Amino acid sequence: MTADVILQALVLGLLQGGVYALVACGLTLIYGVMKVVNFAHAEFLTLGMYLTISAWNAAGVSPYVSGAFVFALVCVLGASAQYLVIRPALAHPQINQMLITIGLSTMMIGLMQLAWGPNNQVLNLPWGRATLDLGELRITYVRAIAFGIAVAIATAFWWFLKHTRVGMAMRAAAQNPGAARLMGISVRRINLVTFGVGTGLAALAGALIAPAFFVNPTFGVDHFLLAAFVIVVLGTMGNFVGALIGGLLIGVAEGLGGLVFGPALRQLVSLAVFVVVLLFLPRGLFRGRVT
Amino acid sequence: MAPRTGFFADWLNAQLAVALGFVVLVGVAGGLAGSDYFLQIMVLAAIYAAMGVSWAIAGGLSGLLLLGYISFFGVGAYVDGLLFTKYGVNPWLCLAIAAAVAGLLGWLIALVTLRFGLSEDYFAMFTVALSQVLKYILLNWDYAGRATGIYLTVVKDDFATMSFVGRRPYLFIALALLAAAILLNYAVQRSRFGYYLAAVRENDQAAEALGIDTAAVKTKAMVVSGAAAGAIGAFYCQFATFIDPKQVFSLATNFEMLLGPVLGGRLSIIGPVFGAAFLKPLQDLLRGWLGGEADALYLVLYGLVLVVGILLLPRGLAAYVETWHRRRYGQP
Repeated sequence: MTADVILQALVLGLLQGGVYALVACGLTLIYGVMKVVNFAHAEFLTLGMYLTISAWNAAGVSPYVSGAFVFALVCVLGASAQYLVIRPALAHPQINQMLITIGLSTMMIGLMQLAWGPNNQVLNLPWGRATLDLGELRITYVRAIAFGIAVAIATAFWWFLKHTRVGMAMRAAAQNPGAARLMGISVRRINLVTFGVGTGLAALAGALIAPAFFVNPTFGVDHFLLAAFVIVVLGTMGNFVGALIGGLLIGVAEGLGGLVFGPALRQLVSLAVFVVVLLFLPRGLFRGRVT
Repeated sequence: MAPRTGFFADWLNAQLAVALGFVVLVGVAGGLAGSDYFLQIMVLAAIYAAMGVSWAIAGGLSGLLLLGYISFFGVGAYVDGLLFTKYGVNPWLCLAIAAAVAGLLGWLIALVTLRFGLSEDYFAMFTVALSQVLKYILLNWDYAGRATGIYLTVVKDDFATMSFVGRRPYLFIALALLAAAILLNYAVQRSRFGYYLAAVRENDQAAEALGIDTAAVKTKAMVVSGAAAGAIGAFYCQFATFIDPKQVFSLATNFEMLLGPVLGGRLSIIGPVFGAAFLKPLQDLLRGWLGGEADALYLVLYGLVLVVGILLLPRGLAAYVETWHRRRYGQP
């Protein structure tokens, strides 16, 4: 194993990690504000991919343009889902909430299969396979762009949480919903916005990676759900910065793990990290601080 | 009106009688008639019901968020498959060994999660992750046949090795297992341990303050629930004659198994029994009726039932029946 191969695996892992971070920050936000573990999160990513591919195939809209519309559309869909099925269950036992999101996930997989069929779909950008060569290192442009935009948006969103009124209201609702309500924040509305934006970010991540992967109805569950859970636990559930750093770390760990143990055991690397983190750092890297 | 007394005035006794009566009824019906197709569905429903009743001990009565329950089932199935095919161990004995191994797994899970203070959501995610870790380990383990899994061959009826050409004998064994799970749940709820579980579920800290060793109570619940699922898994291996990691550690199956107790009533006995008795055949018939092509439509309907059912019946149907029962017998 030469240094080049290791570097290649490292960089590819990091690129994947940027996308993971964007997916995970929506998931962690939803958990932080509502204390709901959203098992349907990956389906919103898959939906984002499908919508982007359809826009390209039907009207030739570039994924980097349609991404914005996909984000907005899925925000509305996610908020509707929250209003219809999550909000009524917020006072119910946690096992009920989890099973409801699992039901939502099942339903979405079925609906996507009805709409787009069970077979793989693909978005063929003319320059989809073009690579950026830096010495021995080869990266496709689509992956590099996905990484750049994902990290930029996640960072911008972090700024939004820190410095805008809505962002501050979200953080207040996450820290103490009762006190936030007393300060005149409509926690119900914040819950709605959070779920919408959280799932919208997953769909946006889907739009960004659409040119790089085949998509089928269970793509999200198969490739992203587990990683997203590992990341939010690693970075402390509910912690936004934790999700960003955790995403990059897990991306790199999977890249190197795939190199060392072979692609078949790549998932086991995530799972092993998950179990170890849950056991030894159950509050994650950030010791339970919700920011 | 003075409270009525008698055996049925007690909610737990009434449930036991109704649940066991139903099991006997299904046994008689299945013994008299039924094609192999329907018997197959009935056996699966009995397996799901038994899993639900067993899950309810840890997942319902103790209040643990045991979301990844299929680990025990899968481990039980593999213990049976490996011991039977590789060493020719008698399947009836395998049932007991599988229960012991799965119980040990339950003990280990309780040990590490309690030691590291994992609770609620984290505990739930840990149990789900563990089931997938086990799946990936078995998918890559040569000795256990990797992704191909394990095949058992059945050539003739032989009670001693739990092998039957027809489906009917399996129904009787499955119903016996279900009856055993019902009695186990009943015995737990009747015992001092059952009251400890209730105390831990309702208020963990108050229970601890009263001198209950909450960690020991939770551990015991995990061992009991785990062991029961192990035995059921071992039986499933004999019944299906074919297991692979994707099947016996499937998350979809896992959640399907929890649907009965959650919609039926986590804290009851009749809830998981009737929940599975209704939902599992409905699911199989729906799938058969819609056909392979309409798999997507089935997923939509199934997800819809899950979501709407849980929203409408957050405490499960049995909670309403319990209220009715209490009123009928004039208890406060």
